[in-house]
Amino acid sequence: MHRESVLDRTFHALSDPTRRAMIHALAGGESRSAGELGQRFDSAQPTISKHLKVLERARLVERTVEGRVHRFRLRQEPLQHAGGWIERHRRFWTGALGELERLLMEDQ
Amino acid sequence: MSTQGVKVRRTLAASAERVFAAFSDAALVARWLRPSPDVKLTVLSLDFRVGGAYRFAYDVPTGERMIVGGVYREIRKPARIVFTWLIEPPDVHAGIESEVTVSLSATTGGTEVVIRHDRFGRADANDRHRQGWTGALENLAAHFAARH
Repeated sequence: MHRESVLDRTFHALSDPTRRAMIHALAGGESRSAGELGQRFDSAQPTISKHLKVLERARLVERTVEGRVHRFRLRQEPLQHAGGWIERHRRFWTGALGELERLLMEDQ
Repeated sequence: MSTQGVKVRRTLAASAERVFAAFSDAALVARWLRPSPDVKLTVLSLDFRVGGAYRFAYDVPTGERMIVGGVYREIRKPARIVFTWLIEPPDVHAGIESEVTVSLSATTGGTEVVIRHDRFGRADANDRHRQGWTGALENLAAHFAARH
């Protein structure tokens, strides 16, 4: 049940285009401050903070505080777990269509 | 967004009616709706009507069992079937709500089948969010796979 809710949070966090763009901005691996991220997205700082909180709850970003500067770094595990769901279902349906083809040939 | 999550397609040398029956007839479903021949599928229930439910058990060679269930949302014979897809606990992907859309269209070689499987959450199960965001996720996952 724990993993289920984590994955649900991951997918919810990724359902917003601004948050997806933030993840892309962090994809290089280096950490960025909330201010740097705010500049990129031309949104008010409270909006940026809100999005960062959602990403943080989904454990997609990790926050470190240096004095008054909050820095964010991307965490890959949730993305990999979510990617596993997609990969599994891609394999399932690709295989199933092969099985369907076999069935249709058998019954011809 | 151009990409749409999991999407697979195949042209089958059979009429749309025959392909449709392979999804709607429990005895036929039991013979193919699995990822590979070494996975055993047991159709626990299949009530093929809008609002009707299905439940499939998959036994894999390693001994694990995956149970999937859902409800038929849309049925348009012989062109389109939409159903929800939910894996039951204790699977690692249990509880993730998703939706499968099967589209059939006649081609010169027979019938083209397109299966789209999109995941959506309870909190954001609306069309705006469902359009293509799994594709965005997939791109990200590919990005990370490439880096590691």
